[in-house]
Amino acid sequence: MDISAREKNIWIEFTITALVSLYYFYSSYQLSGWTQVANYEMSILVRNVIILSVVISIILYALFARETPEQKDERDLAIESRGNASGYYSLTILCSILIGIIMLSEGILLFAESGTLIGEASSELTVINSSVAMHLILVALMISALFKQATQLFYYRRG
Amino acid sequence: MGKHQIENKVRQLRFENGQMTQSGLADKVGVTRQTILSLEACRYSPSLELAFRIAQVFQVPLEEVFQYSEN
Repeated sequence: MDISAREKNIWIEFTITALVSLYYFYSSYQLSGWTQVANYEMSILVRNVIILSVVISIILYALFARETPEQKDERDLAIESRGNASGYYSLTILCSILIGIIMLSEGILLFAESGTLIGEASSELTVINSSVAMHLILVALMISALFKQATQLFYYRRG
Repeated sequence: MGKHQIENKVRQLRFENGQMTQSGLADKVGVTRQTILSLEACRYSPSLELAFRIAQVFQVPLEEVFQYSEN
């Protein structure tokens, strides 16, 4: 496979982002269903995430990226620019969706409080509190980072 | 307006200039070998500056290296 040192580095960054994000979101959801941010278990989880990302980085860079990447040329910059655009658009779309979800959640809550929603409907409400919102923002950041790297990899692979 | 593509004779000119390698040309014009590879396959359109540098290496006019054609 004809692959430059720069492209290798992007593959490694993509792998690290995907693995660390999956580990963090899966573990934090298992821990509290995203309802808490600041407690002892969460601080341990954050510490583990940092250690995991450092360890994965060391292993992957040692195995696959021994040579120093060449200086960026105009094609690298063009591909980087496309990646940044893709990351920016995906982040904008995801944040808009997130704002919509929060507004909808607030609206439903207002209905419930005013007594319009009664019985089972009000007991099944999913309220987006600050902790859930923070996790949703993290998801948006992670997805946009993956979009950016995937776009770069697509253009590198296309030739 | 039809779809246009920038075609080039970089590969041909490399061979006519003492079997110059992609890496050799890349070093002379200051880009990576992957960029030359992509350029020869017409998947990347170079900047005007890079196009001039390539023509300068082969000592030919720009239009002899790059052609603007309709698909």
